[in-house]
Amino acid sequence: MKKEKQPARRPSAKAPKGVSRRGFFQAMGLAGAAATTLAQGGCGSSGGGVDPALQQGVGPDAIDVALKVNGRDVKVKVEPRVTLLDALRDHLKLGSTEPVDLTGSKRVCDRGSCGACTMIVDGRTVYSCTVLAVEAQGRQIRTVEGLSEGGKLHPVQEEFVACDGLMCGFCTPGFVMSAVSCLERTPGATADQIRKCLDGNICRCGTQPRALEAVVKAGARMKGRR
Amino acid sequence: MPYKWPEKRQVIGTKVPRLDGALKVAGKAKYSYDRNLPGLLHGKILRSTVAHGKIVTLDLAPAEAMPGVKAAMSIKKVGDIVRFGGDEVAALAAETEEQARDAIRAIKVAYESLPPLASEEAGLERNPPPPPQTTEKGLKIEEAFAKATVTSEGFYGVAVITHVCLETHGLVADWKADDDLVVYCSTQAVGNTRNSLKNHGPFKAIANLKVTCETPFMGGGFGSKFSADLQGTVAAELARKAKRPVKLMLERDEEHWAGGNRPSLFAKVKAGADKDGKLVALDVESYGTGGNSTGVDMRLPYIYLPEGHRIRNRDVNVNAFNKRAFRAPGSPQACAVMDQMMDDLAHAGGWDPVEFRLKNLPGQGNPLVNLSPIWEKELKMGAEAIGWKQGYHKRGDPAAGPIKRGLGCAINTWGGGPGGAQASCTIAPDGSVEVRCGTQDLGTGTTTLVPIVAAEILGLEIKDIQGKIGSSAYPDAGGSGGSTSCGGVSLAVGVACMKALEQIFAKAAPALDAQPGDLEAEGGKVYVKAAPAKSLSWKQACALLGAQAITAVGDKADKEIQGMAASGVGGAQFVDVSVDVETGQVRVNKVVAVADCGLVMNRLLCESQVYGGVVQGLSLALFEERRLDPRSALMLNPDMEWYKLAGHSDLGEIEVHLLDYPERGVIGIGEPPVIPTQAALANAVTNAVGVRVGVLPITPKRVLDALAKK
Repeated sequence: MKKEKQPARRPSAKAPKGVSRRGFFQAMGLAGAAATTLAQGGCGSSGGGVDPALQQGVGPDAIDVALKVNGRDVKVKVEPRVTLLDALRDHLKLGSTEPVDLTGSKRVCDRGSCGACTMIVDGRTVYSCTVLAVEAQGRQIRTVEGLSEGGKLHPVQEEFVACDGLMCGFCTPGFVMSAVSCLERTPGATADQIRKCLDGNICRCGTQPRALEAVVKAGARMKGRR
Repeated sequence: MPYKWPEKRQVIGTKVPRLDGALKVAGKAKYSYDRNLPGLLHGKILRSTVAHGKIVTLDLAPAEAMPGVKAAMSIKKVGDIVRFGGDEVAALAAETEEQARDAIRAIKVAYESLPPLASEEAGLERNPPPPPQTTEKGLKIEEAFAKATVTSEGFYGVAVITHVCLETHGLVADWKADDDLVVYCSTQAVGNTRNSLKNHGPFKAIANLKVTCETPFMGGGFGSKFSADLQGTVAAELARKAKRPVKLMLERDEEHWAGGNRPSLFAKVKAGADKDGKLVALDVESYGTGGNSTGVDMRLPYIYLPEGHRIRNRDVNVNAFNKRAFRAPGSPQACAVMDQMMDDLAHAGGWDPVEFRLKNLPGQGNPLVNLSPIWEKELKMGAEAIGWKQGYHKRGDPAAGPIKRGLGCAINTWGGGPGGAQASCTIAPDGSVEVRCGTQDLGTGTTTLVPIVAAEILGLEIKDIQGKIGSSAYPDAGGSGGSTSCGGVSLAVGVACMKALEQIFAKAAPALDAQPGDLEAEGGKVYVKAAPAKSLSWKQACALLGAQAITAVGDKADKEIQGMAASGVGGAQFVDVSVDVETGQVRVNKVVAVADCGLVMNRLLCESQVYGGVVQGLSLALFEERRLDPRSALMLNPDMEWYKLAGHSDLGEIEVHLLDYPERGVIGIGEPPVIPTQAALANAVTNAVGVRVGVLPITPKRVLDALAKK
């Protein structure tokens, strides 16, 4: 007879057994987590070192986390192991007084390989499923919802609709964020450069050819406007 | 009077951007995964960690005592058998997802391991072996081969793949009252999802139970989402227990384990052609798996019909989740076997592969004979577009250096045709129009299709129509499968609008001093055909209804629908690749897809379906394979880094040519374009490197192994 336990896919702070990405962060302490995530997520170091409050250790219970999302201050109460993606998708309504519901960023692979959760943090794209919410404090977080505040779509969004660069639409917010970041950092990007920018985004319906066409067109429009 | 499409079409066949596009690109489209209801609980499922075993311990009590847990239930009981890694054992719901995950790990469970079947080959060697199912048609196989002057033999196959819907399976269950359940489900069939919940054992006893399935948006299905499924009924049971809404969406690994997969097919093939290059004989010994209790979807022989054939197939069981329909069930596998065989036979006889296919297109006696002129046109168009004349060379690129270039092609067919559907059209005295249909939009564009059809029939603009789909509360329409939604929905909506318009004409005729049959609706006007100056604006005409709105119902089953929809499409695809014979790496240079779907309803979105089929086909051809550990039968790649999908840089240039045959009516295009890509790519690789790789996906290792055997 063989005894089996459910694999420790997401070890809790209360029962830290097994090794996983987040368990690894916990074992290293949050200082290590911050450094690792910055390197993986590619946010770029802000150079300020790690918040002394974090070095004392936090959790395992939920803590107050203050985030700046699309220019607005929001507060969430989440366990330190909660990702930026999950905090914005699931916890804003539960733990915050801010009446926002940011479910535009999607959870698809939940381990940094598909791009559906792409956000722009301090000017660079990150997979928000590999950034912890606590670690995103003090950073400028942009989500897909922030692109069309006031109801006017961003040129990238307009071209996605016009070129039909989307089908089921589940990957689309991530594609849009990667494309916006690409064109902001590389105005006038060529189709080849854009293709590389979008390589970290996976689509199952097969929208890639027309998504590329949409971003090329949006890039031309945005450059013309400068 | 039979109903038919207008001969002069203003909206149908134009390029209409999808109407829900703005919501989707802004992140404002609410998918099931995005439903955060007040008081929402999060559900999770405990899944077996052995692929085959008996449950010997199962105790939920420790989990029920965990923080935040509000309801728990067992799915299997002690003594039950688990049949695949990830089989469902128990479930619970808690205040937060994190708490639910912790609590799942607190459930006490133990298994007695049983020997697993981890591969098709292991399944074949089982004692007693699975029996072959044999079909033989036409000449006896020996007589057929006696006619052949050229023969070829090969081993071709396609591995099991999984659906990888980006929005995983699952739903949010919300009991509005004791007998009123609303679910937000990621489904291809709102009606059947409702029915599956109504008929769920524990709910059958609830008197007058009302179930509504709301699915305004869903993130991909590809054949795997036709009911509430186990996780759906579990979520509804937990919600009922906890008296709170429950969200239960599968995680990525669970989606790979239990969200659906496409059966494999491996075939040892011998084929023969006569001296004129006519396929005369086909002998196939095949096997494949559809999971722990189902088999392959056998569609051999595919398209080409020899004078005699024999197919001996063994359905093999392995300890993995059972198959689900996947985009054109059985056809991509059959095409991968058949069209690779055709290529090898052409090579053996020294015939050009395109010419050889043209010569063997279905003739009299083959039920697909009517499609042959379409294939002929498509093969010629595709060959021209890919540069076959200039680029094709005999097998094996003679160019110096490690990079070899090659061309390949394949053809496909699929039924499509109209699925069951009803729709209603309501016209109010103020001229507003609302069309309701209980279908759903998988990303295929049904949301946009409904107003296109209504605007065409009523002579209005798309913005004048309120189209309502994605709810089981609307008139019943079937699930979106088999490429039948476009046909069925177009018919139901079209006829509902035609019937409503008849009522408007009846009111308007006296005012225009004409008979109802003399009237036409076009450009926002109702006018007398013979004297267009005699007209009413749409609003004026509708005002004649008085105080009461009218509603008409259209049904695909209406006997008076003639020639508005059909079934049966042909397609052809050509692929241009470069292969590095030192690394085995395949690079796609270009794909040309020529597709047919009868009457094109929305050219922009229709083309997207073809692009999508090609992209998915390339991904399947190059990367995708469900890998089971050979000892434990546990899936080794239940994620998205080792289960690879194609990205932008993997695709090359894709060129789509859409044929339009309005006289055939609506057919449906969702599935056919995914069928031939794998075979066409495999043939291009063989043309480049000079050897047959045979089994897909064509990984660098398989290319190098094939070259080593040269």
